[in-house]
Amino acid sequence: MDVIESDLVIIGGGGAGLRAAIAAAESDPGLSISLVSKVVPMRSHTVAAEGGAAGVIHPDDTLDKHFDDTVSGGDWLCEQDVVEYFIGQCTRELTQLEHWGCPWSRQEDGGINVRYFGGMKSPRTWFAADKTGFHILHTLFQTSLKYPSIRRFDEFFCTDLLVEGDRVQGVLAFNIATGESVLLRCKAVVLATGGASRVFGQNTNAGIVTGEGMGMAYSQGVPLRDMEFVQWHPTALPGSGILITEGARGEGGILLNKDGYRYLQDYGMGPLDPWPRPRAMELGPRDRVSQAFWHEDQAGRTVETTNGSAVHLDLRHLGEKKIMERLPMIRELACTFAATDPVHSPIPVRPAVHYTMGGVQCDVNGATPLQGLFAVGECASVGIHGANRLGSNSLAELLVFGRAAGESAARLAREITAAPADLNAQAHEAEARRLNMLNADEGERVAVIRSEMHDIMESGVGIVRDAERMSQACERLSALRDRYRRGVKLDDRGRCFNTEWLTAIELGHTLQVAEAMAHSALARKESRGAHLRQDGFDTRDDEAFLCHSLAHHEGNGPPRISHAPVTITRSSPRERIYGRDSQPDQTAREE
Amino acid sequence: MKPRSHEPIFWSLFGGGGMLAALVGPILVLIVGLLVPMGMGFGPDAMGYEQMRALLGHPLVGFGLAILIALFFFHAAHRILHTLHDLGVHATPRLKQICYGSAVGGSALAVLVALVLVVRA
Amino acid sequence: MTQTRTIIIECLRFHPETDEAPYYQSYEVPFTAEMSVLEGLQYIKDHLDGTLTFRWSCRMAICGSCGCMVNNEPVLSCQTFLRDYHPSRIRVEPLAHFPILRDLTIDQTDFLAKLESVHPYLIPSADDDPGDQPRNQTPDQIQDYLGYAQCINCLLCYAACPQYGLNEAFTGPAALALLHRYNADSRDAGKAQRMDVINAEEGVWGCTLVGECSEVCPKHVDPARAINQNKIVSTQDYFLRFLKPRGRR
Repeated sequence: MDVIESDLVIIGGGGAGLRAAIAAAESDPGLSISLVSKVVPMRSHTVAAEGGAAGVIHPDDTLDKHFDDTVSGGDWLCEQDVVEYFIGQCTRELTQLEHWGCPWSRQEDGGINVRYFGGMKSPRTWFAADKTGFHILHTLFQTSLKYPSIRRFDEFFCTDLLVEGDRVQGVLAFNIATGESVLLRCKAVVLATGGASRVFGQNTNAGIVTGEGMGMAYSQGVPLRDMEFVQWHPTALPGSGILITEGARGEGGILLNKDGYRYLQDYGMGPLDPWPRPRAMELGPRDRVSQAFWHEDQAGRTVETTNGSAVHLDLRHLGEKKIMERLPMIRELACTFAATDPVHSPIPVRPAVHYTMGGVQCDVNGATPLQGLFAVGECASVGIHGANRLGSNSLAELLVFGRAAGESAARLAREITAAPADLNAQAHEAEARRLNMLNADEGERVAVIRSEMHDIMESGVGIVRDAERMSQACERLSALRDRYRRGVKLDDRGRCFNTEWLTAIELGHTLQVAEAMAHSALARKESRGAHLRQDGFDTRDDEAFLCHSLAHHEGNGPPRISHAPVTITRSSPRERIYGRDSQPDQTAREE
Repeated sequence: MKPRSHEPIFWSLFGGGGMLAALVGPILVLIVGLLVPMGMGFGPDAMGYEQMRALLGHPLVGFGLAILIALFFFHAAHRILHTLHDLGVHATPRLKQICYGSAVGGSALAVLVALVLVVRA
Repeated sequence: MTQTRTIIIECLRFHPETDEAPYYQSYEVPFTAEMSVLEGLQYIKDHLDGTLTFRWSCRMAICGSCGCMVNNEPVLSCQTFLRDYHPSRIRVEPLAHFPILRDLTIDQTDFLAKLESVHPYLIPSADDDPGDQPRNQTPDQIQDYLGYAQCINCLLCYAACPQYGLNEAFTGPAALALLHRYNADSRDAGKAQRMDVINAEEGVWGCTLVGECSEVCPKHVDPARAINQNKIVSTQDYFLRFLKPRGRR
């Protein structure tokens, strides 16, 4: 087994991982940094983010508004001290990206242009047409090439964190092309592995978003926080789940049911007029808009498509010129994947799983309870999203906390002077366990177990939940994990570029994450943000559940769920009001 | 540092020849192929030997035409070289010498002829 | 429900540990009207043969992972649809001109090295200090480079480029387009550092303006135009350097 020594190992080459790598390299050029990713960095899922990134720059906007939108959007489950830090850093980070060449869309005078996203009091979303994530990712990747201390391990698949003496000191990875294992010894690890939306079948995410970063940390005893909060994006193409950005509504797109009626006015986001106005109708938060779809669907007022029910996203009134300037990719995607040209007809859309609000518990510096382990981006639960993430906060998050985690990890790596642990025995044991999977003669195919997991999650832990279906989901997941452990049958027994084997390893992590989601959801006996119950726990219960959920790994058994307090600094929970006047300006500075 | 390519010399000659061919070619076709035979705008002897000889005897016309022909030669040499490359016959120094050498030879001949015509005008 | 039909997908197979040479294997795949070639391959992997190996990720034509040859044309398999080939069979092969790692996956290290060689990052001038403010850039200035910033590094242009096929030292369409993207950016002053790459035999002079790169580009980047513009730049640089005062580049 090859052994690679470096000060810092960053797992994941998406926006968060690249930002962390650059921050670490800038804070100490003498550090050796290994950037390990199962895909070449520009293939990472950041690339698919469309709408934009939040940062206060518009003259009408203030940091207080950003704070308040984020905390109320998150239904008061946000860590308010962390949100405070976050909103203070967003604009600086987005400006930094400008300095690195990101092609932000501009106003006529050359200044930064911003647009509305759901749940915002003022326009705050910096965008690069409707390919913001693509431009951010490529800008970061290309900029990272300036730093000689960043050594990339492209298409290396990390399977295990190696812990010795209560501290992470290494990572086991496999070179995908050859199947050879490599032990990466280090002083600190930054997890930047993205979310876990592939737990569900209908999702907007890339195939690589399988949650193994969460799984690796969880297996080492780090709790997964707030996993029940899964975001359904209200507008994805039926069937494929391909994302149609919220920016489409930010630019003025409207949602219609089968009768051509703007149904959101019936779900606490009206009245219709005056339109457009912030935080109302189609600019409501994602949880509410997706939940409204569910109700319309139950009432039979949705449109039937070959891929299930849908509603119509109508952009026609924007006109071809504006669509081509602001939403060119949306037009292309709709034409290619839905055979619909939004210039001439509405796009059929329905909710699909989009984002994992929860993740590896960490503090404002990305530090997890496990010493030497940092987490950043979608795999982390740093505490800014609470029970429902506002659109545009996640691209800003991976920049702000990517830098914070990169710098903190670099600092820690400098402080540690002890010789690195040997780790050889541990690494060989983990390697043998992974390689053993290649020899399983019994068992089920990856696709069988995966599609059953999708079925369990869609039916049991969906947009609207109840105890009976969630308990069933927990039981079925437990049985499914047993089946997985008994063996996954692989056609492919070779080492070289064996993606079937790697998919099976991913699936093991994904199943654990699914179980953490289901159990966290079952234990939260209230409705809050994206967690909506219909079994007598239909409302928010601040007495009992103004708290985080923590899922703890319990070996082969189901997770143990505990709860932990939420940090509230200056915004105490109120009713979440959208649509009718939410009195935007007096709210932020109250006790 | 990678060595600088000398291709700009040949590419600009190629480009010049191509551009002039595109500009001058249609005009020549128009005059020689259409206007003169149809007697439009030119007298019946416009292309007669005497007239042509006198025209070419003028230094500007004679040498101008020689340069034009030279650029055409370089354009052709470059195009042939690259077409051979596309067909799998790669540009060895020898092949380059043959192609561009022919262009140089043809150009020299054109200038020589122009010189003779002008001097003995 | 959409009607299900079947199509034969013929895939190039090659496993470096066991095969001496590539061969073809055919699979019969049921498909519906909206199924892409990628979904056809996924069907094979999930249900028929787990050993078939290919890259994919976003399945919405933005990550650049799933490029391959379908009936000899370089395409993104996620936005190429089976319905357009039925009832004929289709042949899926790895991108042309690259070494095969396994089955449909190619070795992209050569491209990554070329991408790095063009200094693909903003190099502002020494006296440009925007402080903590974003620089100004008008929509017109953005238009000068935005088209070239759309490249997803899918490598279809390399598979389509006969010059790269003949000479793999050629820097190639995507990398040169990216070089031009930075040179054309009003905020950049790094052109001098990139001239070596442009001026080299393997730089813009490796191109003979076949134009296939721009034809196959799924993001309409037009690398051929970027390269040809830089032939003019390189020619000017070639001759004008004699006029520049000594001590300056």
